[in-house]
Amino acid sequence: MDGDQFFPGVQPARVDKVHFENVGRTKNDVLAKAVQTLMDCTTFTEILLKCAEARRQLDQLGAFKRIDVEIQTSKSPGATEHGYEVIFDVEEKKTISGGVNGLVANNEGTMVMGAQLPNVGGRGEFIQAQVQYGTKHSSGFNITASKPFLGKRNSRFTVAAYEEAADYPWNAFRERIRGVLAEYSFRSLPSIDHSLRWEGVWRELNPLGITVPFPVREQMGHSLKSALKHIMTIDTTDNPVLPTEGFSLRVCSEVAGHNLGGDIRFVKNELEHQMNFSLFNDLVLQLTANAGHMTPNEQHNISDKFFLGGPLGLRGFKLRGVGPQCEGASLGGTTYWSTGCHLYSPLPFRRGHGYIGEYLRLHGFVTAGSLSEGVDSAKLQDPSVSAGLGVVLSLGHQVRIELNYAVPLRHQRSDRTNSGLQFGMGMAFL
Amino acid sequence: MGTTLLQEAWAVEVGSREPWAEDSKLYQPIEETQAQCNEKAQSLAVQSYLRMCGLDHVVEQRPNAEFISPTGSVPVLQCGSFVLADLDSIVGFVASKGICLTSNLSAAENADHAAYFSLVQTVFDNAELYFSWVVPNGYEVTWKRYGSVYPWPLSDILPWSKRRAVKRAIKDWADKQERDVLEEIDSCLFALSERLAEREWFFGSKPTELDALVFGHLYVLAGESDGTPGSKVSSLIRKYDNLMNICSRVKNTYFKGSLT
Repeated sequence: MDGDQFFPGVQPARVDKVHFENVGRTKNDVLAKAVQTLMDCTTFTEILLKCAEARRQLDQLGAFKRIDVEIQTSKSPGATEHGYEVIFDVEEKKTISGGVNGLVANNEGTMVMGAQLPNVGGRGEFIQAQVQYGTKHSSGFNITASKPFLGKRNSRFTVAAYEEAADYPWNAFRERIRGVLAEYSFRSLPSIDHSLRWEGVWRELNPLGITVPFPVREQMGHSLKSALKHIMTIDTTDNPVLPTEGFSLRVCSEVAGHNLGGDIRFVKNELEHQMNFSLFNDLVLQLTANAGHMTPNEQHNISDKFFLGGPLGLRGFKLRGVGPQCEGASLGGTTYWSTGCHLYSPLPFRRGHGYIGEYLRLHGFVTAGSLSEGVDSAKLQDPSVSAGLGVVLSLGHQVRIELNYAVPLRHQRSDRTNSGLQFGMGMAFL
Repeated sequence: MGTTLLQEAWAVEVGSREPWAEDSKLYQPIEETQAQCNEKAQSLAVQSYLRMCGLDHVVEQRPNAEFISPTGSVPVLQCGSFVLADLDSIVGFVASKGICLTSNLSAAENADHAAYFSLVQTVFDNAELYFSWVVPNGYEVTWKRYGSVYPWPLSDILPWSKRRAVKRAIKDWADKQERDVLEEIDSCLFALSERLAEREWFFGSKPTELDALVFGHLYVLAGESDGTPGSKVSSLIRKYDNLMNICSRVKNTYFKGSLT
């Protein structure tokens, strides 16, 4: 880079040669496809941009542990005047990997044991098997096979078979589900992700305990759901657990039964929205709004319904404690809305700033929502509301743990309130 | 099953404080297309018992009756907030409300009554399950009926898994020959016929739960159409005139015209 006249960005340039090092199993055709556009570059800036794009595509294959890119001036015998060589130095993943992990969701810790065959066909395909056991009588296994397709759309095709069983003490039943699914996921506009899937699920409900309310008991037994589902997500937040800016939107539509088979039939739409605003002094204001509706009076049962309330949802209420209840078991509803407003602040003493401070926040919140069977406008306009203060801990920026003191400000007569300290952990939150 | 015992004890203890609910319901599988022989028999037995006691109830047909039941057997009685299954639990529950059909019997008669009751229950329940689930041509019919309330592929999977469960539950009966089962039934019928002799009811001057139980099983088994495995049992029953008579007596006294 000598001399003031040299502006590498606009210098005419072309790629003479692309070279891969340390490739073992990965097939040439996918590698060629990933770097295809490099050969058309005319300026150095373009080469840099295209290299970054090629690297992103290779990364998306999930076949490599490490990808280093080097750009050198071309020195080989057939070199052109402004020729460059691009070298991708990669390290492939092992043929088999596995491990034991912990997972937290719905106030339950789960141990997951899994094995994966990454890049099994040489084109980024993987096969994965997992077994999991939870701390509260839940268990499950799944086998997944997935294949990525290179290109701008980030598309991927996945098939899976799974079985899960879990107790639902808030509903007084135990559910075992066995299912198969086929999913095609892709990106349409930048940052809009879609997932289109078909699911066939065999659900078995059994009463839990001896005093199961009859409205729950009469729904026990076997059912088969065959459903098409479309999920659209936009996520511009900077952190999934403690975001400081950006917004996220998730719209999920599901059609079960009709001409798809099975004995469960409904149309269900659900929307989840979150907005974050950075204020002065590292304060963050977060607004969330969720709503869902499913066709009432069609053929569905308690495991298809919406529920509201809990330590990470409508706080100050027992888990699934808002909406229709019977003898201490929640029956769920077909329409709901809920909203939350949080104000986050870093810990008052700033010593932890940058270290543990990054994972801890204080927050004050107000949450409100309502759940009803059918569109019962009187009930929907008379929400249950709670407010409180607490501490939020982010575990590896994946799992959210909250310890709050929450007080229900208004509630319905049937609601099961939980005034005082409340502890919650999980991935989804309101 | 521990929970079931607890549930019964709880129902008897707490249930005795409340009167019989007027809107009590009896849940059973769909009679025409789904219910198996033993389910029909037990449902009929419970219905005739409740009618003998003069207790109001409505029979409702539910495809998932088996899963509503706390024990897995049908019919299921819902009385107020109590849910019970099996004739003997229901008899205990009704007794807790001060209604008992065997209160006039002597201690010796009571013991005999209990022995006959459990003989009938064991032999007929197992034999009916045997003819529905074990005998191949019986299973052919059962498989269709049991699966009829489910969509494919559950309509194939569930009868298969139920068959395995039934075979486990009836233990050594699953390995018996058809001839042996018929012999067991015949000796049970003989014992019943001897006991009944020329009497109007099995014990005392009034019907008891044994009469209800015998009626439930014999009426359903005698009504089995030709060609089914049950038809062999039906011809056995027809040999005993006094047993056929008690069936028509229960039918005429308690089900005036409501049974076909």
